[in-house]
Amino acid sequence: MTFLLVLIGGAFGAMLRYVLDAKVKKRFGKAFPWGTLTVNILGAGLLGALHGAGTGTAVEALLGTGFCGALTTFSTFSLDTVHLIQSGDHTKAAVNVFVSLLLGVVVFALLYVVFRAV
Amino acid sequence: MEDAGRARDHLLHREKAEASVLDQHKTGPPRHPGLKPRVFLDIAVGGAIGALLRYLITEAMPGAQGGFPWGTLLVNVLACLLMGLLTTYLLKGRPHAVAKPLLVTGYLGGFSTFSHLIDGIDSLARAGSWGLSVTYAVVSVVGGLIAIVVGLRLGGAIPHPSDRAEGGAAS
Repeated sequence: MTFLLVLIGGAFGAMLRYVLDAKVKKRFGKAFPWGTLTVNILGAGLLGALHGAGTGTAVEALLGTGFCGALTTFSTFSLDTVHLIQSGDHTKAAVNVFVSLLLGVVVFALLYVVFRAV
Repeated sequence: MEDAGRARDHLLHREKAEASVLDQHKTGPPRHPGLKPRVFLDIAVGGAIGALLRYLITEAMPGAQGGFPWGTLLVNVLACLLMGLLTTYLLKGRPHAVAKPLLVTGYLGGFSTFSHLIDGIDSLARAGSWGLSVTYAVVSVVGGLIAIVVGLRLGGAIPHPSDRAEGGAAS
């Protein structure tokens, strides 16, 4: 049962990531990995809210492990960073790493606290 | 002066690689299908398999509940290695049909996770282990970047069916 929930969550998370990444890229251009940043921050926030609210095993498998896990991506984030470094754009690479991590932690912690209080 | 243009080219490399997984036309250069409905099945399958693999690995790792998140770290670094490898391989041209499940999982998949990395950083900090929290973040990022670079290099070593006729070469 848990396997199935992870599979379903993962399928929908990946599809939403693809759609959002494409939409954001279209709007804000490809000079900076805005799409990956968007899905990562969104996924981190959602997981913070889930963990703050406290979830059972089933919800954690479906939305936490499956959906949030597949919505966010660490490998694309790293690949984009390496591409920025290779093209000599060290500032953008550093900004990508620090903004992703700091904003991710802030949004996660904020929603965690808010949903814990609710 | 050239930086912006070159950076754009490099980011387009990822799109080109993605296109060669998603495009179903057998001839000509791969075209990126964008939001056409038929690509969503591949993406759903990739996301599902990737998420399940990640779940199995993190559950199998010692200290899955609490403690240092070795499972997520291992999954993320592995995913980076795989993504580097596949990027180089895919940029060589059309992927081999047999490699398709691996490509779909590795390239579109929900294997790696950013949200659970943040969760780990936050949990360690919340438990008062600030040193471990920062260490986890730094090791993940640096490990991921090294894994990508190693993967990109290794990708050149994979034999690629560069012949146009697919059934021709046995190897």
